[in-house]
Amino acid sequence: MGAHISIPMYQRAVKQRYRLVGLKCSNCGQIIFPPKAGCKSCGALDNFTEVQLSGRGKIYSYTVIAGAGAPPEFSEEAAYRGAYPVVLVELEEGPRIIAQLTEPVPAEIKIGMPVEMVLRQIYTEEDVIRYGYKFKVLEGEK
Amino acid sequence: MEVGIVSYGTYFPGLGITRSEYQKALGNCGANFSEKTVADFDEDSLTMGIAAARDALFEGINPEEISFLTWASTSPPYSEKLLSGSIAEMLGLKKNLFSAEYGQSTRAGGEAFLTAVSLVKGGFGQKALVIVADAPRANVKDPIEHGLAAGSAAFILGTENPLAVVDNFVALVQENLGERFRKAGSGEIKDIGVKTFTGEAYQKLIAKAVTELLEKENLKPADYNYAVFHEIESRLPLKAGKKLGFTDEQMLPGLLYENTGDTGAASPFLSLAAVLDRAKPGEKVIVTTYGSGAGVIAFSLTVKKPANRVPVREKLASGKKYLNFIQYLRVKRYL
Amino acid sequence: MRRVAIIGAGQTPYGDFPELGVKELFAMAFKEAIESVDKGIAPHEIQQAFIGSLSAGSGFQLGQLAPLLMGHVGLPNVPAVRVENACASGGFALYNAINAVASGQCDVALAAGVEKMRDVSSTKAKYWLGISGDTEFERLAGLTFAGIYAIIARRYMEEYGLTREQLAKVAVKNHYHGKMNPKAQFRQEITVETVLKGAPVADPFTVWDCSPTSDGAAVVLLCSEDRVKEFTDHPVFIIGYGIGSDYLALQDRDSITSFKATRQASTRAYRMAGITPKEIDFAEVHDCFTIAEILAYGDLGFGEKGEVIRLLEEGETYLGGRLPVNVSGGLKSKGHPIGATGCGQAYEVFNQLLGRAKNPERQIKNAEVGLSHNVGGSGGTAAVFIYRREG
Ligand SMILES: [Zn+2]
Repeated sequence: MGAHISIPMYQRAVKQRYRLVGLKCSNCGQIIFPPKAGCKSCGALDNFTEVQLSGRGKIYSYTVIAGAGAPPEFSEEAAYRGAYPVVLVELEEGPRIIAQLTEPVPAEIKIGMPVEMVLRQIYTEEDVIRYGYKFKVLEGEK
Repeated sequence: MEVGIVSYGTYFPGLGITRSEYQKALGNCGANFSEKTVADFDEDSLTMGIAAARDALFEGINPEEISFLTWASTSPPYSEKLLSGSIAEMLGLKKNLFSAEYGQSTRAGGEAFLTAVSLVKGGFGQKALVIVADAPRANVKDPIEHGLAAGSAAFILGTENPLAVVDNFVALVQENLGERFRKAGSGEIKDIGVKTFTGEAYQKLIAKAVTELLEKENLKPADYNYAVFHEIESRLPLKAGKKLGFTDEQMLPGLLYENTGDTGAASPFLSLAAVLDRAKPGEKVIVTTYGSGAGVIAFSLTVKKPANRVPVREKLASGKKYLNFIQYLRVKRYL
Repeated sequence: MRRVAIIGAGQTPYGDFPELGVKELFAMAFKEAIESVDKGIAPHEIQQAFIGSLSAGSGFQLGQLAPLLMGHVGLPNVPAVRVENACASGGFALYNAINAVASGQCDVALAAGVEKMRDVSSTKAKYWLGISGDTEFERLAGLTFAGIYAIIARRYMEEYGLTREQLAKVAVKNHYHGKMNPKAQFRQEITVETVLKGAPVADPFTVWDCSPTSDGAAVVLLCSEDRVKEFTDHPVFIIGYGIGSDYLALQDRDSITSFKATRQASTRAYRMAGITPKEIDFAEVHDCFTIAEILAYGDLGFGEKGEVIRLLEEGETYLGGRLPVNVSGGLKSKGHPIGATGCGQAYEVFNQLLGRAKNPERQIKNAEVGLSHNVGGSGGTAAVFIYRREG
């Protein structure tokens, strides 16, 4: 199974998946998520500190995955939901992240809509539930 | 040392279904609500509990200060596997904390709450986080399923500057057969369907606990401003309260079933939150939590300051997506 | 560094070939490549082989694919290596083969690509196709490859006012071209309406915005300048080439409406060739999804971002236009056997430059300079080649 993410691999990133812990480069101030060994801005390889990201941001772009096209881990979800939206979010702190958009999904998704991170089940494999971040549209703040 | 609630948070899923959808689909509905909350496909008691806890922690509380964590749910995502570690990681709590996880009945919230109160009172640590979350399931053909809903509440307990302090409590148990139960290995609750028998048991046990609590406190029903009776269904709580001498005025602020359905263990704590949303300093609250099988934990509180939270009722009224019955079956994975 | 020319090329038809395995597909393209050399070539003249493939045959890991395939065509002792950069595997195989010849490591090298995608259930295909993005963070958001490009498309539409209909025109054009290509997987013309009314895949894409899964192989034979005359009087020289890379995940990139990897690759290729985009007569670009061709126009310098929409609207990239793009049908209509694509593009450019497009109606007239552009995943890697007919 080519793209299978093992449970140990998943677990090593729970801090990021469960609550958006990013890195801040002490050299240039760049906020990095998901964490990397090298700073994307200045190339520094050390002196990073962990930062808790706010989980708030705006929709930078989006798509809606049709049921039949979902990756295998999501085929059950696709079968139940029919189709599900995925958004690229630009967080307040700068980094962009990709995640699903949860209900209630607005009738029309628009770039720029404010969103907030929520913790949800991502999928279940080997009977183990993988939890992680998704986003919901903040109402009344458009 | 006075121990009390320093912050609280609540959460309802963004999905709902009206009673009329049940009636349209099945011809009847076995529960008396106008609409109920529905956990989404990707939600469970853990994700809902985290949402409520994040709402509670939002009040400028440092997650690092939490020394105790108690959890309550009759519908945990795993029947066996500690959830405290997940919760600690999900919320960024420190890892050297004492935790206890309850879930043998819908009284679990009362157990979790009082355990936390005792631990803080014992001076073993500064603050406790109590999470009560539930999304019980049953066979959709069984009328007991019709009322089942989802929701969660979380409380941070401490000694500094509380919103409300815990005054006293009473806990009772007795043998009760055939009332809401779930056999080992099953994911679905059921009962023997003899409503008068079980309704009677609920009322009697609640009455006994509340009477004892009033005696302990040397107070009368009229001395309380609010009374929360665990809403295991729509009519019994009001009935039980009236028999004890509580008025509509005392009870209505805590009645949520009409708009939520049965939120299981979370129910009395969502009601408590709804009461705290409006309570004024000096006001007194009595709360009962009921578990089938059976047992009651009742406790009383005195409000110290206004809460200033987004009210539970406002959350319930906002931006929900309503499902039709087929969508409901899909989301609940009943299909 | 020595100058390098293509002396022969072969390619299987792209499509669904239940009776052909990865070895048979490779052998078929190999044979055609050998036979395409004007003055003939003995297979043992090949000194090194670079073969691009993502799945190595069936979606499961299979080590040492390249010597396996070379052994199958009777050349077990030709040093051979498999090259993998997802959808750009073929392009990077070609890159390595060119360098092997240019550096003097060998005089004659083989670059190839092969993919057998139709042997496995669509579920399994999705599993291994998913490897090509940043699996850990993109894929686990429930995102598919189409979804990643759809997110790019939505952003492009927002930033540059690209419309849904304009996007569909890429597919319409490439199907128009593919209809004339006897080796194309889809040989049917479609309309904008066909695209819009297709089954949804990932908003805004329907199935008609997406390239298909395909079986296929392509082989290119390369030779150093000093020995070209032994094999042909009509060599096609690779006058410029470049490669580029970027973060795999869209979330890590500053812009998602441009592929830095392509810009990097094309800048190097143009500089090496000493020409500007204006001197390109035609191009085969990586249109795995309709938006990808629009991105390619900008990143290859065919026009400024946003303004490139005009190229399509005014028919300039149609056969007969100022700059025909994807006359083969592109990935969209010709097919996209992942590892084969980059070498299949070289095959098309080689034949077009030599006037050997087979079907005369699809022959580009008097073309001298062609370009091919191969992208890995959603822009994690890219390879660009510029070719010129000499003689
Ligand atoms: Zn830096």
